[in-house]
Amino acid sequence: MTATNTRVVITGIGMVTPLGDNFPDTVAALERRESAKESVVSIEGSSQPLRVIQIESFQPRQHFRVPKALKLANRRTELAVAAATMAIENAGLSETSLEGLRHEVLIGCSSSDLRIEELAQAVGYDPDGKAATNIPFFSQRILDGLNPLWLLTHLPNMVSAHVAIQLEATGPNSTLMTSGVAGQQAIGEGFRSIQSGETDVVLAGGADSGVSLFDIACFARDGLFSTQSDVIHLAAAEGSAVLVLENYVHAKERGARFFCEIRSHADCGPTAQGAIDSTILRSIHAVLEESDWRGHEVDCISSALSGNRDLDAALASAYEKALGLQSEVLQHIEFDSRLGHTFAASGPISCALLADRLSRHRRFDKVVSHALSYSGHSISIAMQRTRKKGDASLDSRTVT
Amino acid sequence: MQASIAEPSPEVIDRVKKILAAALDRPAEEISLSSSLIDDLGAESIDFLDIQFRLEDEFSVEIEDEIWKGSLDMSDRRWMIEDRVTSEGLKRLRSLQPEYPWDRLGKEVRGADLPRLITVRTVVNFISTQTDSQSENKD
Repeated sequence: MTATNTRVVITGIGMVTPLGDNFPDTVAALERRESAKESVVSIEGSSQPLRVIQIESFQPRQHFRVPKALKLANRRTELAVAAATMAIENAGLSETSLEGLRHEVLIGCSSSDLRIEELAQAVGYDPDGKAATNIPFFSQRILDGLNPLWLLTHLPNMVSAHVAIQLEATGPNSTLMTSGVAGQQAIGEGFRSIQSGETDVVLAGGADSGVSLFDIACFARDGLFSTQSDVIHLAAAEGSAVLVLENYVHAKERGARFFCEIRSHADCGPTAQGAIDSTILRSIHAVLEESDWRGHEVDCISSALSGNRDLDAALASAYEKALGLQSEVLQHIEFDSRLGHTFAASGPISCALLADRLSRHRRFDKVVSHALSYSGHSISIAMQRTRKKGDASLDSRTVT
Repeated sequence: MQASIAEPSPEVIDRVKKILAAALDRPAEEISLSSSLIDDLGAESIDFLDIQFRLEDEFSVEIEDEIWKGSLDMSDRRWMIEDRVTSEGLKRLRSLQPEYPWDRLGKEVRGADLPRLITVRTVVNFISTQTDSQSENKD
């Protein structure tokens, strides 16, 4: 995609993590070097207990303008609405009507939040295996056992839909479900949407939960997040982060504060296992090229680990090749080992924490957030301290 | 007819109120027998599906969709003509739903207004009838 000169800035951040029910609390806990409380869960039939981190204190009700909608909200939706509401407040947009703005919602989550408890209750005992082939039987024994709102709660598009309903955001609306990179992809696509002039404001981020019984059973089967792992201490967790992305001129006109500017985004699709190293490299090289940066200029790269030995080794190798050793490579270990793996929310959490660093610490100027899915989908986002008019780096670009 | 229904038991009333409180996200103490599900408790079409499921689950009864209009049956042409409730129909509705604050509706009552007349008592009466009939069948 050809970039235009429209600048995109981050003006608001909302977040829910195991370390805090909001962004400031999470940052403060990280700065105190706290770690989220972990529990060990054993699945019958699996010899490998898992590490799990649940958010215990979170109260979604306060974030829902229409609390009745909570009965249609699954865990991912609750986390997304909370983060989006806080992001809008943080951006100072809560007191401004969003009506009339070209206002998009793009939230990523790794999958639907299918509640195995509800399904198990509905399916009941099916000794003859009739349920899958006999429609009347299926209707009577299975559909009749599910609340008719079950489908509405778990439809894939519901996460972004509820954010829009609660915030009265009437612009384009999409929920991305591209596994663990979905939140990162949402931010990248939101950036492009503003850059191309299609929208003024985008609520972009991720909300995810990997702590349901269904998730844990899948992880146990795949040997992920095991307490016996010798690779890295990583726990399955849950969380959300939503960023307010805004056209620079629009944000400046309304007197908004900027966390940082997004300079570029590169999305390299899933690939065969043997080519993952080159895919990671391609996405990092692409953002460096579009941002007109050299690898050694990047002050910090942050990413979610996978918990998979081969993928994490590929990450470390690619970062070293692309950036050299000058960058604070492997910042992700600092975040992930203390927050847990938040799947599709991990990219946005990483972007948010980097944006915060850019706004508060002068030693950070150019940073890259990178996300990688288990299938090798690699997405990089380059962010930079916001330049003021007259700064050298802006002189070569037309500000629109 | 409503007149033939015995006064529902406090236990049934309490259980119905709890279901409505959960489905409509309202404090149970705000719910009275005369509360209109739509006007007072904010029920929308999707909520009626939810309430129906919860009632079936709680009372082990099967509820047909007609519950929501059955007790206010206006199929007779004397009661409703071209979606407008006749004066005779209005008399009938007032006798069926004496607790409903009728001043909320204008002089002309249309078919679309009928769901607004469904009160907590409508639901309680229906459930009482169903559970009574189940008990009789068992006997």
